[in-house]
Amino acid sequence: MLNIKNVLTVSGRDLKAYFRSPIAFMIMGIFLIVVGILYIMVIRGFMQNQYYNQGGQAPNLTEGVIAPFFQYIVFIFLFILPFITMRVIAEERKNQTLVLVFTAPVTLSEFIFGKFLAVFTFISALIGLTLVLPIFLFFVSSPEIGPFLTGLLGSLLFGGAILSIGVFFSSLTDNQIIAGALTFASVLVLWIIQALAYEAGPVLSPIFASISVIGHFISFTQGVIKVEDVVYYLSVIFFFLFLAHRSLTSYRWRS
Amino acid sequence: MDHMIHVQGLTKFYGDRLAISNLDFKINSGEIVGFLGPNGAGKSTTMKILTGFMPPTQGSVTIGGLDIEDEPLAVKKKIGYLPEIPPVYTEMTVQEYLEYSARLHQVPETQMKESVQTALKKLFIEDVKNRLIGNLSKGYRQRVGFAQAILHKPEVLILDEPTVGLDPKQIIEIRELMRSFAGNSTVILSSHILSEITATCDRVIVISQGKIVAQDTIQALTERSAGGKSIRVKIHKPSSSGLEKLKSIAGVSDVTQTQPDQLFIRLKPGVTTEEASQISEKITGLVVAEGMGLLEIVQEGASLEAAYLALTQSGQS
Repeated sequence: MLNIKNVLTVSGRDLKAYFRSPIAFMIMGIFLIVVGILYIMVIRGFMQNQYYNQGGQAPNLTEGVIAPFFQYIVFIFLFILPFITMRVIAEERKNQTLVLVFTAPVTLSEFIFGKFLAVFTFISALIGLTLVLPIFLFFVSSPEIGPFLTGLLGSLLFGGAILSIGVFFSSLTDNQIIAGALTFASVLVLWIIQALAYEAGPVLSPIFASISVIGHFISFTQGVIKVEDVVYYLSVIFFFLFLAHRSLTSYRWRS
Repeated sequence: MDHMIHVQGLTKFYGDRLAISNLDFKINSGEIVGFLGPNGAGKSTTMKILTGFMPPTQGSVTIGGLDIEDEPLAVKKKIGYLPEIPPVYTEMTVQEYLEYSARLHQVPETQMKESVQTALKKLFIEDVKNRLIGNLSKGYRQRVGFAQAILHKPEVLILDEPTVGLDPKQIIEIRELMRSFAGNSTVILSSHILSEITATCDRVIVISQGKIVAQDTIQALTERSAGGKSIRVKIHKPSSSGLEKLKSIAGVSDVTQTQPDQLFIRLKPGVTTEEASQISEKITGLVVAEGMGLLEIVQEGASLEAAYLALTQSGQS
């Protein structure tokens, strides 16, 4: 199996390196600002709803604030995550540093998982920082804790899935820009799949729905953890990390 | 243990291109062996396979009794490798990088400090240990790469062109360092520079166009071409017609332009010293007649250079 120590060695190095570069802080800054602004809009909209619909018809805090909060987070993820993953392996290919790990007593799987863990930890930190916003609600009111926790879990799984796609594309090339562009393109494809899940006929819709990254997130915002959704996300993660493994193995054969 | 490194039938294709073909050699523990050959001969490819970086198309590699395909992790623990381009991360400091490499090579945390410190000292890079690698010169980066290779005190050191980018003083220091490993570790180093190999190695394996054309001690290899004298000529303006005419002098085996203004003329084995002098005269006359401008002409006895050129010349036009 995987030697966890090796995985942590690889991810630890990467994380230290991220925080040396200004890009990481820029991404964090932009993410927090955008989430902050969207959150303000959500709260405003919520309060207006409350005002106009005194009583039963207005959505409660969970539906009106917490659910949209996580929905916005994953929406922004679609755009920001390719920037985070684009250099992850492509840079090592470009600088010829992969040979260090390939000739050390560390397996390729440990390396790939370490890379994934580093970016995953990074986005977990991003999410963690933004949690300040909804957590505040718990001090001034009593929103349901369930949807909050499941929304958090769903965001992490969603983020992990996009990251794994990004890690794969980063492993294909030594050019960060290409890696980022390919990841972006796949994000658009995922978008389309979700749209098709709505629009396509009764036969095709369920098929598209079953592979839609966005579709599988919805239940999490409603306080529901569906096994099929969790399995879906974990499968996507392992599938793309496996593809990254194949890609690097082939690189070693050729290079 | 009989042999530290045992290579059999090693072959590697890059697509359709045959890079190395059926290499067979054994290296004993404690030896310092040189891979000598022109650029593109297959030295780096061989090293990449020995270090487990890439698998061979065919053939086997056994290090310390372990097969590299069956037990790659165990084999890699025994190896320290310095590739042609040192695999350094420019955003890390020297100290951080070496600690990272130490961890990857399974150095226990308790020995970490001492191992890194020792490596820093041996490569004379203690004074830059807190500097970012990105800010270091090529020579320093090369030494950081070397330090990474020896950190975990490997049984086998594989060094691809280890002195490239170093100034003369540093080259001497590195050679002494490599010689200091003799007996304790096994060292394989590759170079296309003859003097490097003769200065450091006990034995040499000559690789040309993907094949081993000779493997022997330096002594034996030199003596093999004994009787093959050579004449070294320094000229001002070489001309291809002039070179052709030189080649056609009786007793001349071949003429190589080792540098833009230098010719290495190998004579056929069996040519006596008397005859060699006569040939020298003919060469002098020809060089002047062709207007190539004679600067220097020296007769030499057998040399490793002659042997090397002979071995790597055959098969080329």
